[in-house]
Amino acid sequence: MRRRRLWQYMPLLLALFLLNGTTMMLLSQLGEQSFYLEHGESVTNGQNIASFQVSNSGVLLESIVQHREQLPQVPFAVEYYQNVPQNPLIPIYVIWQQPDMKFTVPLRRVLQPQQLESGVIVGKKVWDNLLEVNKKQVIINNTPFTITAIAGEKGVSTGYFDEAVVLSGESITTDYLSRLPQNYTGILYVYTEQKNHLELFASILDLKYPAEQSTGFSFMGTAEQGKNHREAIYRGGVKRLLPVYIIVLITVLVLVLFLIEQQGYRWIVFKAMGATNGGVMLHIVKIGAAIFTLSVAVPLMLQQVSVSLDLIFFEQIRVTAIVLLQAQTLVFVSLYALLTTRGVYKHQPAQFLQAKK
Amino acid sequence: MVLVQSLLVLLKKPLLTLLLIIQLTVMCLQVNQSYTELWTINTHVALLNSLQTEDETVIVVSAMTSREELDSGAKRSVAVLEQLLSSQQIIVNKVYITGGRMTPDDFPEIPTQNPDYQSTSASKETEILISSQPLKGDVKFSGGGNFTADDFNAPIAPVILGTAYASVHKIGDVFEVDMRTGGGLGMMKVQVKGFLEERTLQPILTNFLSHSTDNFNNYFIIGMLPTTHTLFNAPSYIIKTSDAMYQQLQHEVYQLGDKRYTIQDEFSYKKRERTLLVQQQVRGIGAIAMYIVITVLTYYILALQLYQNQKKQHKAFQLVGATPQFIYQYFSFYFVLLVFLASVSWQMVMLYYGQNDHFIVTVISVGGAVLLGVLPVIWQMRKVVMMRNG
Repeated sequence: MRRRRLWQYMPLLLALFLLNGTTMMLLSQLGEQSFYLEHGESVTNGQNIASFQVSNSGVLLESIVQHREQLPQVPFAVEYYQNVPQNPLIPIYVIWQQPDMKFTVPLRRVLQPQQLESGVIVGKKVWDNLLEVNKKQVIINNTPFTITAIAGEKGVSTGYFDEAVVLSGESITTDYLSRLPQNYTGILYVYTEQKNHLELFASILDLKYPAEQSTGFSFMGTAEQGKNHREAIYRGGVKRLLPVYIIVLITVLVLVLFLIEQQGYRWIVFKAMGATNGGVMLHIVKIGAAIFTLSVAVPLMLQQVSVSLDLIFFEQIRVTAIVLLQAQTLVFVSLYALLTTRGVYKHQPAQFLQAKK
Repeated sequence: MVLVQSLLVLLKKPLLTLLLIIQLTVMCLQVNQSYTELWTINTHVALLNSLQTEDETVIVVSAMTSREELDSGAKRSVAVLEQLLSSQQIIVNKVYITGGRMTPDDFPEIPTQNPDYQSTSASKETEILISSQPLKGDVKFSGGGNFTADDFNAPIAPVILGTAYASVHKIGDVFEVDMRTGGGLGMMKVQVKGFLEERTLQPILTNFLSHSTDNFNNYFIIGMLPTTHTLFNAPSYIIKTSDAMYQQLQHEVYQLGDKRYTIQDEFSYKKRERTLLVQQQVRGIGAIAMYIVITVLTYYILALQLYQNQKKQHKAFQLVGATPQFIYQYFSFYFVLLVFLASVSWQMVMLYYGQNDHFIVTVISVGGAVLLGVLPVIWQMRKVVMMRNG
């Protein structure tokens, strides 16, 4: 009997799972840009860095290697694009670190802790695309690099370094430079705010001065482009998922109305059998609480499983977003409870039987 | 009568009807968008499936001309480069890149998503390649064929076109192209020799061809021997090769010490798109599946609700002589009406945005999902009605 009663609520529960699942997808899509921004900024812990844009990254790298000794002793990095086995045209970050000041990259897994500084860090999407034979050592520009770590974060599909390769500037050779793609734009990030350092970089490497300021790495160097990129992702996410949300919302509404209408007589029978209004209401509240708990808990559990397995269905969401899930579920459950209670108070068994006669 | 009864049910609950029509309209829009995305992805995937190896690409090696050379009309020395290229195990197509304009009748519609190329398409301009020998490598034709040695001595220059031009010309057609501004070669009569297959990585590809359309269907290659015109002073070399060979060639050219050579990879960005597209493909299929599940669920419950609400009315219908067929016919027709009204409202939205793709497949998907949801209830109803009659 109890099982049968539970089955009556299954469609509504299923629709609420869908609604909460869609909301979580919507929220994780909207959260993508904040994760992207965070990863980009985490390289300097949010401290200011300067960036110079160049039209030929190959020339820039060649010039850096040539004048390495003359450049100020601060960390700096070059971002450029090139083909890597099974990963066409991905960003490469060539980083020159300093012992006391370093760029930090979010790591999902460390494979070779001893060689972390000398090897190459590949983004998690790059790692997924690599053939098994290339998963220990990857050849870039005829130079073999040992893969020491995988960059990225579980349950985040748009991490800043997910589709990137990070390698040490010290491992760059002339042979490597001779195979660089031509005329590809690049960015030089310099981890300092000191004007004289930046002026030195600009004069030695023949760069346009003044440099742009940003808090960490940003999409294609400029904060404005990064902002546009994030806005594009945001708009894309909203555009894609908002209609789905509307569709599911209407389904939930239809099901709530259906449930109220279907169960109208049931409460009258309860009352006819001696149940008080308060008793019936308590019963409705209990059902509401069960629906609320299940419809929030199940999608959240699925989301946790998806995040721990790094699947694309559900991704990380902010803790505050869970409040929204609970709030919208509460709205529907309250709607159900209120309308049902209204029915309970409105219909009296005697009146009902009279009407039926 | 069936229609009237269906309409009555529809009008009995206007708010519910409105909500359902809105839901189905949004559903149609979403399913249609997912199909459009999947179709676009298939175009890209078809192109990438034409690759023989995973790291295949097409590169263009060009010798840049200095200002002095341009002013004096001196020929750019490419002997060292040509010697280097001939020493490699590669197939090279040597071409001269220029441009030209056609009359509206000779210029096909070449839709492009790339705004940079919309203006050239609007002014009926295109990039033109001039080849002084038959095209080399695994060239794939959808009609006609390659240049022959005799073609280069013919009074009318032969031209190999992309499939987009097949809509305005056929093999053997002669038309004129204005090359006065682009290459300074004047008005040139050309005769259609062949059409290159689209969505295929041909051994001929330039930056323009690569970026101007997704289908690679707008080739324009004229067969012509070099003249003394300055255009023929600086050739480009197109090579279909592997990424490893691309890097090797860069190294070899770098070793030459002459910084006036450019080597451009013209295809890798397409491969980059592919990895993103595969994700989109999964999402697109997943989205369609999700819409269908939601529709089935909604309409199953809705049909069940309607059936239970109308039970007494059905009994009354039977008492006044209505056949069982009438009952489930009007019942089914109610849902057909909903799908119809939603389709009309969806088409109005589509007309407003000037789009009308995948109408049939969208209606079949959404209508089929509604049917799938309603069918078990109709089946149950039919059995009950039959039992009652029995």
